[in-house]
Amino acid sequence: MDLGFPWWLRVEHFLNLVFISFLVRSGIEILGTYPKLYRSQHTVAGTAWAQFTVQRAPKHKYYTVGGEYDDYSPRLSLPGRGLLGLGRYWHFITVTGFVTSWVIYFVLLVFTGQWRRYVPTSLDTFTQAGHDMLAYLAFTVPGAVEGMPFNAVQQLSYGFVILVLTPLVIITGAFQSPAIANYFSRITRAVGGRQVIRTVHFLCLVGYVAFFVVHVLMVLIHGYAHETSKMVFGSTDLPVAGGIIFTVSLIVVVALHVVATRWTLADGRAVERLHNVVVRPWSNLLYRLPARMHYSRSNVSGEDVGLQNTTHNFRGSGRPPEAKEYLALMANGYDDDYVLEIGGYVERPMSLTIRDLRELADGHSQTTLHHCVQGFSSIGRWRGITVSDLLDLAGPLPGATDVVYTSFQNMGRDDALYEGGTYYESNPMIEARMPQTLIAFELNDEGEIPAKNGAPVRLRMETSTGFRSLKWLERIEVVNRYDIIGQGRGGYFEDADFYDRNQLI
Amino acid sequence: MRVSEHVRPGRKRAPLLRYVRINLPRATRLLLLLVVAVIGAASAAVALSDHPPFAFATPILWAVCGAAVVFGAMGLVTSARIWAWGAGIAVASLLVYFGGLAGDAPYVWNGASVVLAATWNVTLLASIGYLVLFWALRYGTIVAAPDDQNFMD
Repeated sequence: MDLGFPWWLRVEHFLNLVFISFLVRSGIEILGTYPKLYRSQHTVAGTAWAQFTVQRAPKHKYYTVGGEYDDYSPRLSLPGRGLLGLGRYWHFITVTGFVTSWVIYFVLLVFTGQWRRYVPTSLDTFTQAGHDMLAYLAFTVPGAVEGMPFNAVQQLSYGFVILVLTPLVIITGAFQSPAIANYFSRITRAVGGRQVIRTVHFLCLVGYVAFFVVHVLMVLIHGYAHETSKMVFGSTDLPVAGGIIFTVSLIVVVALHVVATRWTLADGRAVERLHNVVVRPWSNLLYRLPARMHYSRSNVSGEDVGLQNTTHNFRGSGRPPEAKEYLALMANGYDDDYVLEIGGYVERPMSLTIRDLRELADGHSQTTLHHCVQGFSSIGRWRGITVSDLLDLAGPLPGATDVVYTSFQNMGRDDALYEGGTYYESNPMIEARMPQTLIAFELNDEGEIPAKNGAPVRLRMETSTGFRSLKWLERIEVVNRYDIIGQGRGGYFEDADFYDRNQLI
Repeated sequence: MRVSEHVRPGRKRAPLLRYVRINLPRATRLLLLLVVAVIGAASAAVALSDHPPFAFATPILWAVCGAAVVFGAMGLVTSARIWAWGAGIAVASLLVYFGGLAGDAPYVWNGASVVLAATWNVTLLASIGYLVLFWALRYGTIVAAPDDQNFMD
């Protein structure tokens, strides 16, 4: 069979150039907001194996994760300037195209027999690859294997990138989604936890960049016009025209990046709309994956990494409220004064003290992995009552669609990193009814939740990223529409920044 | 308050490579030793061949090999910071390679076998590799045991 360079392979090659370059740049943006990589899911301070920041370590004993991000140049990352939400939008928009394209390519490889171009059918391929490597090291250019479009080293390296590296990057990327990681909790744990998966995902990025550098070098060594002609016309018959057309296409890719970056920095909401059209149709399917995490006691205590106190290590990602009423509650130990109001579109509005909540919870707890949108993770055992149980008690009226949570926290007043506004969050009924969507009042069997983690009562929403698990909960309202609250996007960060309310990835 | 280091006056950001800090001290130490071992082994292989790159190259190649052996032993047995010595070995190997360019280097087109030519070029590539790693070490991008990046956060 003449393997050659069929048209769909050439199209895939060009699309990969676009997709992977966008994925790398937006991936760097995402990395930059928590520019540290770990080998343990506990993200213990001082144990990162790599950092990508020039920020001096904070001297304060308590610093929020919001101050962790570094400000990368828009020339490097997409869109740059520490805009995580927009970087995520681009990553997910591009991932949609990249995965679709790879699946189609994979199917075509299988059904056309073109898989032979990548998969060695004999052990001789490896022996030949060794000879070819020696030839390259001897500064000579090895020829193609008979009947193949390229030599054995190329076959193995392309095969590795397309059939190993790409599935690996897709799977490790998918497991960055809290909905997927927490549904397939056993797999997450079996491979070492979220931070290990995040590290592997990053190493895949390094793999792509390294491949790109070597690939370009090889194209230059084998002859730029000769090689690019194959990717344009499928043959080496028109090297000059092929070289020119390929060069123009490279310029188009660069232009796409410039336009995308400037457009994003100028009109983030437009990118958000594009994201909602492209990504939501598939990301909303993840609502079918309820979290089902049950970490062990050793995970909670951090014994596996020698931690003395996991609760102390459980990162805070916001500053506790400085409102007088909250400070008074704190001074009195919450128990006697705190009242959680549940109202809105319900049959039976109610007020519950922590004692009431404890009684209703009847000892229920869940041990879960926290997925910060920026990247850190912590494991905690949360004692509390499910939102679903509370909703059953309150009785949502017909037409109730969403649950809105309001915090004591006012961002501008309490956290210098952000503009003003009451912190709130909402979720659709399907998310509120999930078995691990919880109103928590105790952490790690060590008594009340610490102030930095949302005392006295907070929301846990295990299928989504951490900022949606609202802390310092003041009241819950069941509503029949959320788009008339705040700026109508369903939460503080959804309003003030660029985050999707349907944040399952 | 956020304080960024390495940002020059009038600039918003630090040079790109300042952002990269790898903290794998033991792996880095082993990698540095491995690269010098490759330089030494390749030099020995060229010295053993019947195609010296230039007149009187053989003793120099053996000297590079011997230095690499001592370097490797020091690196494995002690915790000494010997990286500048390794740079010396790499530079010596590079000088031998450049000497070969002026002489009769064992390239394929000079009549050497593919294996010998590859081995000869490995002395170049490994030496450059070590010098790049040595620069990264000095710049703070990587760190080798017994040192540590001392990340506090």
